[in-house]
Amino acid sequence: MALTELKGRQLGAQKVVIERGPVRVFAQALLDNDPVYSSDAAPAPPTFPFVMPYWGSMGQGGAAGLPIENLRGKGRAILHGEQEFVFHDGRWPHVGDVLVGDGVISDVYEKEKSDGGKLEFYVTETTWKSESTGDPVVTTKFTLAINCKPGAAEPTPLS
Amino acid sequence: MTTATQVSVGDERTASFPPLTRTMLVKYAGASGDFNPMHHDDTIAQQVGNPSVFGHGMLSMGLAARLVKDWFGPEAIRRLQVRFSKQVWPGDVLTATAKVTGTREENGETLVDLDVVVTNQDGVTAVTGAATVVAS
Repeated sequence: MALTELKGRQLGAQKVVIERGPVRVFAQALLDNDPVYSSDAAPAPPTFPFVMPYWGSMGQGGAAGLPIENLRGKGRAILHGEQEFVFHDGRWPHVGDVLVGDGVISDVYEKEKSDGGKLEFYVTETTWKSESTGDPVVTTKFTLAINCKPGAAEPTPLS
Repeated sequence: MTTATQVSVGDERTASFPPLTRTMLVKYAGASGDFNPMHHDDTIAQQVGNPSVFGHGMLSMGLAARLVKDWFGPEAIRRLQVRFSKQVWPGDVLTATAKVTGTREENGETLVDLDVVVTNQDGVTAVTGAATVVAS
């Protein structure tokens, strides 16, 4: 059984300062040399918010997340199932912005597969707000999928 | 930038990318902080049954997002959602396609809905999803 007791768990707040170098390097990693990503107030590339917990946690204390070790096990393949970004009210993250992200495990569910195995889904949502105005800028919705073979191990219960 | 009057249902754009290399995967790992060895260490990837390292799903999504951004502008996306359906491998030649499925007026803005897909050189879908953008 998927760890449904995780549903609703708050993951705490994290802060990110969007920096010029990481934005340009991220764009280039997507083969995008658009000069817009080299300007002083460059917009973040559209999928950059996914990596803000990484840049945000640098020197700021770790970003909380799913208890991934509990989810590993024999016959359990952990996959990035789905991903969504919602940009709010025409706002957009830019270099120099300071954003605070609040995360929550918004859903946990599972589906039976025709081969007797199952899929477990763990959905994490983080809404990033401007530190100065409190306005929501972007929400990221991350769906972790675990493809469980028939007879796969169950997740390790939370301690 | 694209204006609403310039797009209609069925309009489509594609972008083809050079063959995926391990260097591209390593660059994406460094830029994103995703150091899962499945994306850069062949030995470990093969130990769990993969033929080689494989691409980050978010690299494929990033290429799809780039196509939408090149079409409508760097701050035009309001929503972008994908499902990852197949892995991508070094040597794969990925093509992103975005197709207009509808346009609508909302709060004085013109929104454009798109289907978004990333396929490999065999036409196999790796990423499928949808986007909503504002046309200015």
